[in-house]
Amino acid sequence: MVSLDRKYLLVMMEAGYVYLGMQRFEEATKVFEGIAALAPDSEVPIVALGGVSFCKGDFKDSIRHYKKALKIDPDSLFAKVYLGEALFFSGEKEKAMNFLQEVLKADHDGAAGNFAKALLEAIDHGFTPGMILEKEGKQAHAKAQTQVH
Amino acid sequence: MAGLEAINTQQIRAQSSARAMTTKSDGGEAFLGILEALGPVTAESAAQAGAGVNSQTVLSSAFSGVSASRHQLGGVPSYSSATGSGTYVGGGVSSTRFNPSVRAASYDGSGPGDLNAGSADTLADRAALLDQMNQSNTELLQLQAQIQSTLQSFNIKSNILSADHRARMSMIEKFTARG
Repeated sequence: MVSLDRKYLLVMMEAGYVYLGMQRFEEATKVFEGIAALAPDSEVPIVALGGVSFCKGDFKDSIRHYKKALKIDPDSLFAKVYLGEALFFSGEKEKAMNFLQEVLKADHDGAAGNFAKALLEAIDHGFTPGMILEKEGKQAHAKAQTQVH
Repeated sequence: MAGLEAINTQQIRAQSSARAMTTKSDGGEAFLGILEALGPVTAESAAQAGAGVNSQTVLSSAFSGVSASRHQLGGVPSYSSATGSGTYVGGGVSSTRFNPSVRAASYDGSGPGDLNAGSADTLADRAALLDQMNQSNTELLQLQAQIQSTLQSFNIKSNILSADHRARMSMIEKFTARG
């Protein structure tokens, strides 16, 4: 098993998000799969893989990845909040809200909690997945991921 | 958190139409009252600007209505071309500006010989003007509602994208820290 320092994995994670921002989904998938192989103990690259599927519009596959990430770390707030997002976009609003509220409760002032809060606010304001996807397209989501840098 | 109430543009339009209807029926009189009150002020402004007594009278009569102008002109009918006020008779400044036919009628001698007929035209013109203003106001309100809705939508999406970015950053930091 090849062992790499986490700082190199970090660079690879960022490279994966750059590919995702460029909508080069295949390359991004390969990078994140590589990181997942190098760091099997972490749910983070699996969550990132879920993000790739989400940006491709394949919500079922993204849900599958997030659930897999939750098997690695059942308490992962990131996996839960992104699972909530994917569930909302796949039309399972109630389940989505349960996950989002759980994350908001557990991490009220943290990054995951804030993301859950933003999504819950959008849902409360009557936003539907169609409203976001039709107007902004998946590119907006991909663009946001480019900003990781 | 309570959701925002949806903006019903149809309702706004209906309310505005109702207001316009009211204006048609009794707003004309109110508008005339305002114009009448403006009469002395306009005449005073003309005097201060060095205009002659005649122009003061003309301006005053234009704003203060038929009865007032008759009084100021010593009983000469205000629609008489001799006073020079014929142009403004019936229509006042506003209606002649927006309705050229009134101006033309007062020059060709076939103008409103009947005082009451002129007033009716004036009322109709002013009601039409007020109606137009109401329509413009409705359009403005609709535009404002649209802008507000768009801004709100943009704000929510912006919040989501911003929070998403922070969450991913935090996720990568967590990933690094574990090592």
